Amino acid sequence: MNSKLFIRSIAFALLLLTGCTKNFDTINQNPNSPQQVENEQFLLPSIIVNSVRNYAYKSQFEASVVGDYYANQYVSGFDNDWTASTTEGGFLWNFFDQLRDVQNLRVLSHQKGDKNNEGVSLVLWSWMFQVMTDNFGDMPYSQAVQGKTAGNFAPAYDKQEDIYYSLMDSLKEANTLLSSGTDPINSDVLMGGSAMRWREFANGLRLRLLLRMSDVTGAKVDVGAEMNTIVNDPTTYPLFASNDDQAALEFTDELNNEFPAYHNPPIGDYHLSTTFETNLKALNDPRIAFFAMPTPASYGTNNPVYAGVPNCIGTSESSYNGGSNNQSQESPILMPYLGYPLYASKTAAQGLLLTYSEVQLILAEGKERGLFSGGEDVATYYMNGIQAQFSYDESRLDVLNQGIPASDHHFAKSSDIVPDPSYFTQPGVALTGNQVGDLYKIRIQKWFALFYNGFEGWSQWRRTGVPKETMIGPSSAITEWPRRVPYPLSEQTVNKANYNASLQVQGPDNMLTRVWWNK
Amino acid sequence: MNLYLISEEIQKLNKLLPKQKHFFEKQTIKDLMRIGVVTITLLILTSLQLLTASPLRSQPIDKVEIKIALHNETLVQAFQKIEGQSPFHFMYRSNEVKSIRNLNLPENKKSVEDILKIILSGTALTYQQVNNEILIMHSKDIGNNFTLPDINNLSLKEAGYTISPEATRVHGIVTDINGKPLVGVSITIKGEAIGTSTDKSGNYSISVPDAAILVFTYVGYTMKEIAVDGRSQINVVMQEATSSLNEVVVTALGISQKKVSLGYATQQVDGATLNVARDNNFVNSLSGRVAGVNIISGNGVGSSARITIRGESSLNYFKNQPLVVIDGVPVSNDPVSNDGGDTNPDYGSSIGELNPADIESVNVLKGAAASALYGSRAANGALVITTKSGKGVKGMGVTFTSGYTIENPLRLPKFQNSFGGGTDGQYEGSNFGYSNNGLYPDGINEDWDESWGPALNGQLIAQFDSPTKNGFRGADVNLPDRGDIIPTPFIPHPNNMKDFFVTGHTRFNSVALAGSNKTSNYRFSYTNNDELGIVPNNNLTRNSFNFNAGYKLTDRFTAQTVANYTKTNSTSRPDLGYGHETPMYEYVWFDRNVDINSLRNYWQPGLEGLQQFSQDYGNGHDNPFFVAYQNTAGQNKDQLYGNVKLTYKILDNLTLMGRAGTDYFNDFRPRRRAMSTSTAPQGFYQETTLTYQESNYDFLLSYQKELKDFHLDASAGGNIMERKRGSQQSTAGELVIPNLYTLNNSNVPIQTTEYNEQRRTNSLYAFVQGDYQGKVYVNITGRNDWSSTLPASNNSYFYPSINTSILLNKIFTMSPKIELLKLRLAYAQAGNDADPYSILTPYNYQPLWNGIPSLAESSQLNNANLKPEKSSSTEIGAEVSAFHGRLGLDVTAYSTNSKNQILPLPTPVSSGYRGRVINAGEISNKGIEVQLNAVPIRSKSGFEWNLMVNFARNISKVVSLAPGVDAIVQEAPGEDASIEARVGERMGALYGPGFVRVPDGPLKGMPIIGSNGRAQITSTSIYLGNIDPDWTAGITNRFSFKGFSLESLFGINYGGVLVSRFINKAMGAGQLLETAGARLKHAPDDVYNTDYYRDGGVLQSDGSYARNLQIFDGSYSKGLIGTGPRDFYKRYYDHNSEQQLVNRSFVKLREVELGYQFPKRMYEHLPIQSISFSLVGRNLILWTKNDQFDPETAASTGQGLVGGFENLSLPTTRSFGANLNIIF
Repeated sequence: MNSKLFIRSIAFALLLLTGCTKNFDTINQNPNSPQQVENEQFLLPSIIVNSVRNYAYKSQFEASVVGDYYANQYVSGFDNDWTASTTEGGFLWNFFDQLRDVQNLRVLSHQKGDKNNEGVSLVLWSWMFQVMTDNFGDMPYSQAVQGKTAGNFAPAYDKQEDIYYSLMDSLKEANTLLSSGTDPINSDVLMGGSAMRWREFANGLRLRLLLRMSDVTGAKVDVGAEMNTIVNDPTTYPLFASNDDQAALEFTDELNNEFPAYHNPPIGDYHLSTTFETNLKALNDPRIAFFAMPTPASYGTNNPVYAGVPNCIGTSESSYNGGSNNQSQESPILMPYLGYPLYASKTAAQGLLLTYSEVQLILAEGKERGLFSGGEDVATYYMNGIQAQFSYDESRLDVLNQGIPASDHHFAKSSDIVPDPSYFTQPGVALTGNQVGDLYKIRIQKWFALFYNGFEGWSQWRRTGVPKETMIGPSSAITEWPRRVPYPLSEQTVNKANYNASLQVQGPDNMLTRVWWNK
Repeated sequence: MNLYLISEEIQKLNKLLPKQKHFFEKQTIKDLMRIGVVTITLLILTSLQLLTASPLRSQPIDKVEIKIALHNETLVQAFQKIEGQSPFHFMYRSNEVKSIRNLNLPENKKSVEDILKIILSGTALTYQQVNNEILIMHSKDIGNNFTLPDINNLSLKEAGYTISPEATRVHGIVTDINGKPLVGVSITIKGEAIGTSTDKSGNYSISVPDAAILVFTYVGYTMKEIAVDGRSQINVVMQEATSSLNEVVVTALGISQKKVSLGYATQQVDGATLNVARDNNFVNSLSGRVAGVNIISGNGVGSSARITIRGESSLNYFKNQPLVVIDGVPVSNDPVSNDGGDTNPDYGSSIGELNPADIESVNVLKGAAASALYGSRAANGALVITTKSGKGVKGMGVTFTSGYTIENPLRLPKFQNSFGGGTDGQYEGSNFGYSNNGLYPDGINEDWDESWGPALNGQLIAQFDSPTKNGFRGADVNLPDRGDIIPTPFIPHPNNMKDFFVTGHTRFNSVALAGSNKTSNYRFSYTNNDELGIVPNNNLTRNSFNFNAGYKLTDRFTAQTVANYTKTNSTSRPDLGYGHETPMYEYVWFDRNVDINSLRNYWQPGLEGLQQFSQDYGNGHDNPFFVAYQNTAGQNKDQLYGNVKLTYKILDNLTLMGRAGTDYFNDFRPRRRAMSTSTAPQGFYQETTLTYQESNYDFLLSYQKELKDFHLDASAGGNIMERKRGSQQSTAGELVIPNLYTLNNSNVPIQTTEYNEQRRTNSLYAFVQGDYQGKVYVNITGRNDWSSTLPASNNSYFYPSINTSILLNKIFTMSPKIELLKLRLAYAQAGNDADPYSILTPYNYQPLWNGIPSLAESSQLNNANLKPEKSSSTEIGAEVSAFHGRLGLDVTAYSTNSKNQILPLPTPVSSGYRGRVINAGEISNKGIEVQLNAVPIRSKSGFEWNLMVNFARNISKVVSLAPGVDAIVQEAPGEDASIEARVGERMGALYGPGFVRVPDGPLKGMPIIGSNGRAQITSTSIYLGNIDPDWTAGITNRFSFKGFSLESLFGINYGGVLVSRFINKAMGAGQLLETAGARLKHAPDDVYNTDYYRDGGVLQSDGSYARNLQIFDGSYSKGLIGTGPRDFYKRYYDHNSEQQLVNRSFVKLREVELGYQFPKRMYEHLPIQSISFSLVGRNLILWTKNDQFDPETAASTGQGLVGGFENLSLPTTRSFGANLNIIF
């Protein structure tokens, strides 16, 4: 080897090095995931599945307590689980993780002119924001989810009022888009690709929003007029016609696609609340066997006993009524694998976003209050709502009991919760024409129907005070039943200026500050 | 001894220090520096006094006292006796002395001179001392112009003088490698107390017995042992020791440079140090030894260790570790975890697998200036590790090292033993939380996994391990007819944590063969390391093969290769974190009445393999033994690294080096969960395979030029670095056949995920080193990187460095006692690139839903406009070495600024994204490091005391973050607290909720007690403290005497806090000792029926505050607003980070080593060169404020260890053992 050769090889090496950047693009190409999606059907399933799983799961925890369906001494202390560090997950601020792809879906479908898919994106957008703003009040909306599209990483807060108006518009636009679109809604695991059902969902959500702001003075939306339009033009504004239409996600028996609480149950500390017990027992409602398990002491006997526990009693819950042997645990359809491995069901509970019952009971209240004219009479809406809920609950018990031999009877069966005809005629259920009393009955039945949607049950209580038994108890950190929840910690830390500005508008960031529609 | 001169030097140093003042702002730092300077000064002065007390020169015969007795002995015999007890030797003419006999002397202590006067009285003889020689002369010679004899001058012999006939006389001259005579070299006979030293011409002479070995020692030089072998003249060339002025250190790119020439701080740790009181992750052994290096470690066998040098400079918490280079090959210290959900076994890191017995040295390059040539990856410094080679081993040498240690927990939490499980004082077991579909009724509070139950008074209560009438156990509830439970005494089990842990064992056996000749050298080693952890069934076996060879192909062409293969096997690694399968988690919820020993038989009878036996099914608590033996996290890893290096000398002063190296591993991790596991009732099996390969190709052309007063080295080179990572994970989420762990046995569709990553960096670099007369050295480097991970427009970046070393002692005239006074100055810049695929945002695959595929966009928005990071650092330092190297001091102050950091900036999720990758932020780090080495005592008898002290203080500051961003949450691995970077504050700041305090008035500062009797907790985060220590120090003392040595290493950590999840949870669960305190103050019937009052302020209607706890009798039972005992504790700790804090200050006796080098004479007939034996201990004593655990712990997360958090970490282990080292 001589020095010339060495100098040449160095020159070659230099050339090699500097020339090498040209295939850097290939090296830095991500082999693991696409960086672009051009087909809506790849975005839609994960948006639905992830958001509904999240919603259905969280409804079993804090939401079931704040809706007063269940009692939990720790949760109803309204301290630890109600702090800024827990509300993001507990009260669904993390819907923003799905809104990211809702936004992607919206942009993509709009670019492609796929009206149906764009409409779907608007319905999902509206549903998620409705749930969040009801929990938190004012929040980022008009500037939200614009990190990628507008480089906005500190979205300003909008007033809940304005969010509501905008959601109304979005739902209206969704209905329009979905009535004129021709593109297929592929991989639609919620509505089976039916644009019609998405329209029904959109219009039902509008009714939910309208009723919620129906008592607000000075609202810039004419609630009655809007309701009138919807009710009296079913061709343009179709609504759910039966349980078959409603927005319900059926879980699967695949691993990790089961009902989300199947593996991680809220078992143990959650019991039937006294409020729920009292109201169900007052009407002799057989569905108490659906909403709760018999007390352990009476379990397996011929006389199952259902006994609740009050919220906000702290550690005395453990000795209440003689202890856990005399306290009913949560619904058999929520019974997790751990407690009942032979009989726990992966699919008995569904993810319910908006039900036929709720829509009918919204209409019943609207009609009762004379918010709109036309449509059916109050009693029809009311009975539709109640009966649909009974049949829905029965159908879920049928799913639960599938494959369980009759001889091995452990849980309530659908036949156990079929109401006696007298149920509907008893004074606590039958409408009498007394508006105050009838409204209370409608709202109690709606509260029962919203069992799966603790957040909605809570919202109804905030708006109407039904059930009247819901009130703060001795062992709570706050002086009144919560009216909203604090913003997530991330807003305080990484969206500080806007967070602080919102406090000037809405009031202190605590659980007693009331949201716009609840002033 | 010129004390004045030294103090003058110290004053000079002190004058340097104020220049660094601007680095520090706070008064405390100034104070601290003053204290540091004073302390160092004192230390130096103390050392000086010790030095003056033990001179090394030969002593006059009238000063050396000995004790001899003579009984009718000859003069020659008398001389021999004197020789035997003194350093002196006699020279005489035989004919003049042989007639003198029958000397008598009573035993008495006298000076040699006095003895000579006595025994020579009445003779014609007289004496004369020449160094250590005593010349016996005839008195007639005196006055005959007799000149003092030169003992090496043959004329003496000609003059008839002879040396002592009974002993061999050895003489010679001792010089350094340049032939310069060394004065005062100590020469002793091995194993004897006799010795002498060289005179001012470097000459020595000593009489020795047969088969003696002479030991030559000289400060700053390597000790030499030479067998006399019948020779009478032995000239010795002493080599300067590595720790001395000519120390050569391995710097960036593996280039060896003289330490004096470096303008930046480095600190070298000798491999031998790491291989005695061995930690099997050698990184832990660096702790306390190197100033400025902080190490946090996961506990448990083979766990990883996180290294940081000079503080945290990156906002990305996991990008603060230095580069680790083994024999020129970068090796990863990033632990790679499975995404295990809420808990993560710590599978260790590749660097932790390096065999300590193979390490020659570890050189710590502390700052960017030191590591500039390594480029981006060494912006946080570098550990340059050189493994042993066969160079310098004559023939074939075989080294055998064997060690055995046992380990046990250093500190366990203190539990209460007064109250058992349950709540409100009530407990009765029945179905233990599993009613078996209604078969067994509920008991009373039996699903309470907290100890708020009845007092443990031996009363009879049905418990999980109580026998049943059908001969089973209470918790055999899956049986169809367990039978009624026969209650058993409700008593405490004080050792129910201790009894779970087993004694750990480590066996270490290593054999190395090494040899060299003129053209080649080689070393081969094999090491077997076998560990059993303190958690049952945790183990780790490591087999390492290391081969290192060099071959001189021609005079100009040499080849060198290193290859290392390590195989790591483990049945199970410990799971860490807050989750069902970690031992410490289980103990949070382990009631005090639970007998751990009842859980050893962990299956329910007849349901072996199907259903575990547990103390509490209701809360999904798995039996700890079931988890340990059935739910394993195994590992089978093959790691291979090595390189081939070719060097060609083109011209005498022009060399070209080419090198190719790779680091590769394949890590297979089977994870099992048996049927009935609470989180996997149908069983679970997962296989994860991780692969990693980094390849480096580099060349370096070096040129040297000598001019009159200048010496110039110039080099240029380039590097191609390519790194690939991959992972594949397949999961069987449920099993068909129990206890059969194969993916084929899946009851559900197998889920598979895969990830692959690739990156390349091309670099060109050059550096020039010049020196003027060896007085001033200047090093200049420049490097340009091209990185594949950055956008094409920004992917090239250049960074320079310059440093200089000024040898003031060579420039100015100084006392010869000062061997080195060096000033260092350095400035460097470094760039850094991004992670691969940081430019475009990916859409991630989601699990199939009814067979329908789906994608979801990543929550982190990537950035197509990234720029390289840039950091610049400046350092200034000084080194002093004096008194033959018996005193060394090295002080460094530095300042580093990191800008344009590439980091995932947290964003509000309301923006649609949880984070975005940006260039932002500026972090500054300023600090000081001090190292002191001293040999306070070195006596002629061979006793030596070595003292090494290091001290470091680093202050980092967040100068800026992104526009509009004033805080970034870096990590929050548990509870409510988080590590936040806030503008204007120190890095490592811990924030979390704390007490709301009375704002003013007489109770100002007390916690406010709310209307529910609980302390109010802030809704926003407050500053809790900093996770990093204010300063750290290490003190090593080494005492050696003859063959014995005793070494101890103390680590000191001052300041810093950490959040303990264990304390919080176990306090709230009524398990810890403190939770019994208030309960025991109450009358037995009142424990759960009366209120407890926390001290604090209660808001009154007039806006003032009244004291809540009003009667301070220790019973917590008199006050305004009370609460039950559970809330009294739980609500005081839970979600209250302030109350979960633990002080991180500690002093730890990290290592003790008592060694003995067996004297050669014991095995001189065996083919053995050396045998040494040592007793070793690690983590022996801990002094710290909390009595629950070692505060030197960290939270294990998927990405690596996070300091400042205790997240159900395993206890630190203390180890004791022995080591044997034999060289053949």
